Amino acid sequence: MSWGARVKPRPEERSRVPDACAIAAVASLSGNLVPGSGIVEMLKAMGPRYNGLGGGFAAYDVYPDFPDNFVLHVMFEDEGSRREFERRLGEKFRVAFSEEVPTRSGVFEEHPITWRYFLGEGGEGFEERVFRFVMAVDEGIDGAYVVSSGRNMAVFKGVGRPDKVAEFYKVESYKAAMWLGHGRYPTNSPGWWGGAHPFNILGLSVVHNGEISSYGISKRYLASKGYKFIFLTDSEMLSYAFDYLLRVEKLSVDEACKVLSPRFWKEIGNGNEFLKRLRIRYQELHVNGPFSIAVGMRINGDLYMLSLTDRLKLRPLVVGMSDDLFMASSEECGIRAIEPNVKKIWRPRAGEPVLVKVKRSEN
Amino acid sequence: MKIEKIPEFKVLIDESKCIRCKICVNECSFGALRYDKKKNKIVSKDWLCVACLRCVAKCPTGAITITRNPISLSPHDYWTERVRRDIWIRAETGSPRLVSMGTNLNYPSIFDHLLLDACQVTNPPIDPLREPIELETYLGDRSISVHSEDPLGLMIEVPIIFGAMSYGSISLEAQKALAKAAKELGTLMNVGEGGLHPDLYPYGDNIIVQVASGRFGVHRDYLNAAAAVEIKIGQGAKPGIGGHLPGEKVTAEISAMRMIPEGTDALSPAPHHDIYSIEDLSQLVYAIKEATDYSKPVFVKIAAVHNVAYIASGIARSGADGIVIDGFRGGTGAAPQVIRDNLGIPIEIAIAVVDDKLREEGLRERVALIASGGIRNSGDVAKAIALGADAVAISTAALVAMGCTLCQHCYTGKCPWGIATQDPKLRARLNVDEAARRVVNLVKAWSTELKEILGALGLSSIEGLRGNREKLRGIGLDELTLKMLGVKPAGR
Ligand code: SF4
Ligand code: SF4
Repeated sequence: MSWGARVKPRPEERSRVPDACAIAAVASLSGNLVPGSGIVEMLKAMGPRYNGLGGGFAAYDVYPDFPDNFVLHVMFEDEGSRREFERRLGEKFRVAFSEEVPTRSGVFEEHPITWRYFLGEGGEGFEERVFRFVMAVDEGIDGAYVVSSGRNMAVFKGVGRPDKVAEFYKVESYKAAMWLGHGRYPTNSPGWWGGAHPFNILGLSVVHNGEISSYGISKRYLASKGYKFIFLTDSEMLSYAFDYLLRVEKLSVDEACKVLSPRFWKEIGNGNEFLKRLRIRYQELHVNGPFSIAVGMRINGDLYMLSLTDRLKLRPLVVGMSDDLFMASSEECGIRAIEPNVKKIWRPRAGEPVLVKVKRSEN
Repeated sequence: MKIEKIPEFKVLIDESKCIRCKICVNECSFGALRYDKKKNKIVSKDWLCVACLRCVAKCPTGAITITRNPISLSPHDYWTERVRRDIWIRAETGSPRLVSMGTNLNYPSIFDHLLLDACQVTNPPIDPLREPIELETYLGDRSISVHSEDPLGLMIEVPIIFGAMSYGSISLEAQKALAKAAKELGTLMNVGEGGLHPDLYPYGDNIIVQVASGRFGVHRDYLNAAAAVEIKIGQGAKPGIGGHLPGEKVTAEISAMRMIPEGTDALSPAPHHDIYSIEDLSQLVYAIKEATDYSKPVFVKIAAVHNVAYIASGIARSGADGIVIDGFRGGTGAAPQVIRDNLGIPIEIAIAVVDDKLREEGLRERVALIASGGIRNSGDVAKAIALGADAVAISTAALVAMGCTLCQHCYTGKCPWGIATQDPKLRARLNVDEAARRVVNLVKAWSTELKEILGALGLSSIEGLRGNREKLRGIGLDELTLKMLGVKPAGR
């Protein structure tokens, strides 16, 4: 049985779609969890930046009952794909708990069904196993797509305005230490639910605004390192790029940012041997062309929020801070929408990463 | 008149303009012009004219016109004039025909069937007048860890180097001009297999020295004087063929450079006699690295042949730091015509399949990929890089910048422009500073054009174009060729 909505393109349908967008991100600085309604307000304020063809959210530290479990959020087009997925999952992992992600009826006429699977293990090499499993499912099961695969985090996304997507997934009912949000303005209307942002792999999620001119080579590079490209979007590539640099190559976040948004050779000069080596070795991941992004990630158990632009800053990015919250947004109005009492607002310089450690809830 | 002497060109001299100064007679190195005292006019032996246009350029009154000889052979589209002439020449001499420069046959050019992208609306183009756009290019192994202290390869300021041309095939003046230009541009020139003239040692940081099958002029100081060493396995114009510098060209100076007796033929064997397979290549790579204390990148140059992807993957495993691939259009000082015109494959396809194979095998970061053989303009440079090359090497284009008119008679040693000759009188015609200035200008102009292309593509550095075939579209190419190139058809 099929539900009429598509989760991803088949290989012959894959083509690259440029898009523009609103990005928003908010992280707790006080340890108080942030309700889902906040991130929705941020995006609502930036309505003209999206056209109703994609919206989505990532939430970190969102499952208090399973604080240390990896959880797979998987979209299915039909029952057959779900059965096939669960068969494969059962072969590879022990599942602690699984359920259908609750949704509101009447919001979307057609939609895929999303399930979440809390994995009951962990330990050495576990991430790599999850990674390989996710790649195998995305490439190998036609009607299934893994939308998120990190520890204690979730991605909710779909084809629709972000507030409608939020209504559908009952986003207001969740609280999280960090949220990313996205409203999409694609240049055509591919109806694939998986193609909305955020893009996630393991603990790393990306929302992105821009069009990456060097996409072709970055994609070829990452594909040769085992990453499967299903949607051919910039954000899919960026999530893989960060995962590769941080998890596989073991670079620091700052170093990874210097790979994606390198300084000019004139600035690097002859003096900075390390920056030179960094730029030379990873030249395929120099993300050329306009982008602004917000990235959520978990490193050694801690949560971080990163925002970054290309080195010419051809896309907008504003960040703001209050006692409780740190926010990044395409426009200032997004920040004021969630935090009227914002204390400090600034526009980071081109290519300069802003990395914030999220304060996690004590309980 | 023998049939093969039916002239291809005709020298027309406007007697009303000619002042009988006889400059043209002296300038013609092929002996096609003579002053007839009795008639008081310049007369030509048209069958000796090669259309080099030296006389035209030097005539003070603009009296000379060179045209194709208007006589017509009875038309035949299969047994063309060219085919018939080629047969007559062999019928007369009983020998293979020697030719110069890259093939002049009308093979389809893939470069001319590729188009570049440009930004519109969804993505802003970058204005090279306002924003910095970088062409700096790294040549060498880049698989080394960022925390390593191992020496890096070479940084060049433009993704364009000069291809190998030996002292012997070109004049010392032409070599000096290239060395000067390379230094000014922050790039590299390659001295080929003729040894390194003492005058060029000061340019060592901008020089690639070659180790070819003849091993001419190879010694420890030679290797250490340069920025990089290239092992020459093959050349696009004559893959699988050795070289032959006839004894009469081995002057005292050249004999000293090449370390062979004066007047003896300089024969480069077809294979390296110590390389009969890929494992032998690796030994030579490491022998050179030992001799240079692991301080210099070692490149391996091959001709683009059918199995080029596998050959390149073998070279990438040999310890080499770069692969120079020379397409079938690559130039030559002298090569048997049948070899030049029939062997090898296009550089565009070679680069694409090699880049793919190396990425598939996880070897791409170990080596630089340099494309050569038929790069005519900055559009070709951009396309070669988008297909996967780190840089391109140009030779013919650099000579044309110096004044070469592509008369294709380098093998005669009579280059009227002082480029492909060892004749002291002819060499004196090439002004080193002026030739260097023109070569620098050419590369500067191409660099500006490359920046304009990058800006239109929304890229602020050349690495965003490298291997980025998303920026190319094919026009009029068949599906299989597109697939091999990894390029979509225009409109997709
Ligand atoms: S160079 Fe010109 S003017 Fe002088 S002799 Fe020749 S054709 Fe006449
Ligand atoms: S280098 Fe000289 S001989 Fe060779 S083609 Fe050019 S002009 Fe003719």
